[in-house]
Amino acid sequence: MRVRRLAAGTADLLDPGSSLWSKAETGTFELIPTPLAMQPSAYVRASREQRPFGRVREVEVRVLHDGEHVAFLLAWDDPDRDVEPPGDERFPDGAALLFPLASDAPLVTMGAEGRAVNAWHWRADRPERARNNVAAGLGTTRVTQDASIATSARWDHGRWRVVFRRTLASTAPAGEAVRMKPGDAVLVAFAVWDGSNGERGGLKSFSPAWHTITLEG
Amino acid sequence: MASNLVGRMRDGAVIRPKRQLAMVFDLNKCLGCHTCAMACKTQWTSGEGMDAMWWTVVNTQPGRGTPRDWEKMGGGFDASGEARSGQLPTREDFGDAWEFNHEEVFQGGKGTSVHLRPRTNPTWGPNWDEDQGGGEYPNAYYFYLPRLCNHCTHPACLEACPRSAIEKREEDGVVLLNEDRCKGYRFCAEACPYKRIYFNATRGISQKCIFCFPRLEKGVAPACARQCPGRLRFVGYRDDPNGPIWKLVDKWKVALPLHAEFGTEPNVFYVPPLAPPRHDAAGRPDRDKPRIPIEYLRSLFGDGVDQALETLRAEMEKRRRGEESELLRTLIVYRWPKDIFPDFPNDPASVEGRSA
Repeated sequence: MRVRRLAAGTADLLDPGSSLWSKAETGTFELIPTPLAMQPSAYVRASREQRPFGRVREVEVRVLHDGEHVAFLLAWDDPDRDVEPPGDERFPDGAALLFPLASDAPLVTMGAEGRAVNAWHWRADRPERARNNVAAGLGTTRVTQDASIATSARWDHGRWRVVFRRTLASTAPAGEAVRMKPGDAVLVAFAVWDGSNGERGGLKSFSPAWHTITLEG
Repeated sequence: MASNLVGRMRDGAVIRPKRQLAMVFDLNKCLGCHTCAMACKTQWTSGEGMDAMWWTVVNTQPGRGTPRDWEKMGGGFDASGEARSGQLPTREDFGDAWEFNHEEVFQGGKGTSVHLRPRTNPTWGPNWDEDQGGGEYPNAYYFYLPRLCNHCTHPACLEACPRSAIEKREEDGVVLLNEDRCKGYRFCAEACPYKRIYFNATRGISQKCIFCFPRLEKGVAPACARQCPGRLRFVGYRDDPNGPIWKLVDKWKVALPLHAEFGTEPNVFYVPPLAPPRHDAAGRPDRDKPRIPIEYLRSLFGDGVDQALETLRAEMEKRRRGEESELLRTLIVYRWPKDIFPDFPNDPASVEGRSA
């Protein structure tokens, strides 16, 4: 997928309703539930056989950059808007972008020892900031210091539109955040959580292969 | 990831700690006074987001318990060792922290016209069914059942956490939840068949009984045990042949696990309640028929309960004849605290580093 370079205001880049997005290429990616057999908890493996998860099966993605910032617009159908913080049997909706920090980092296991991945994790109960995570295997995600990933979300007529915006470069410590520059080809994957279906942690749907986005120089 | 594998099933066997701490509750001594729950509350759960937490509670049996109907919520392991699916209890199931109209009654000048009452309309709370019990007059019955984390040998919570945020200590088997690793997914709370894990919505993490491990490390018994006016909470190592736990659980076999069929090998044991005899239609006591149906006790404590009650009765009979009984001496606790928690006799007031 090609990422067009546009001269845009940073506020526009963060706006899910901006007309800028009509200028971006659109990618549609199939999502599948995370493989049950790979869940790191025997309890989750046993208890989710009869409790389907990974309800969201498709995400539409647009990406733009302005030479300094990159912005991802993710859109998916979800009839329930779950924005309350976790409590009782309630879980919020969420979405994440995943980037390899090593060229051979495996996606399905969310990295491996010595081959970390970087996740930008948005949750509907904290709508304005995504948390920056690093992981080196299932069950190892760790929230790092804030990496200034701004987010903006809108739910309308059963569809979420969520923008993630970050500077292409990052001041975060090496090994904690993906770095990009104009002209780069960047690998990325996507995940979505449907809160009202009890989805949290490893219970989610994801795009099972890395996708390449190429940033115009 | 967790550095130790204690408490996990590996190659068909559970990896056990070097030693295991345990508790025994003598239900024949429990007054239902809730001092244990208050002691714990004061010590550990007054922080933010913890207002509705009671790491130890006292339930009235028969009853629906805390959280409501917890015995029907699943979790634990089936007979073949497979994890059983469980239900996530809600804040309402546990019983919320009620706000009262203190100001209106005490400062608002309405002390004689308005009753002190919760501002909300609660439908459940810890020990909500207090003294409801079972049976019909004149054969009604009830007893108290203090409950807390069982610090299980094979903890379902520990196995359920995909982040290895729960560990079982190698030196004493205490099960601890690492708040830095926890992300609040609550698979642990689903999997725990005893439903003793709470969710702190303010901090977005799960929390539970810590067996007062900072006190243990100073030779001080857990707060619930030390503060118990009935002196019925024994604390010690399972393998200490001179201690009360081994004597009551392994030697005399009068202390039994609660719902052993949940498959987690709990390390809290109960001396089952004896009961007065039933009255017949003419109001005469019928000594062959206990007030508490034995089937009910078996449903909680397993088939060993018949023999446990028989042993208790036989030893009591011995004492009535003036003979010595090691079992009764152990249960009576003549020398507190060394007879009840021999390894943790220190007075917390004497311990260095305590907070004011």
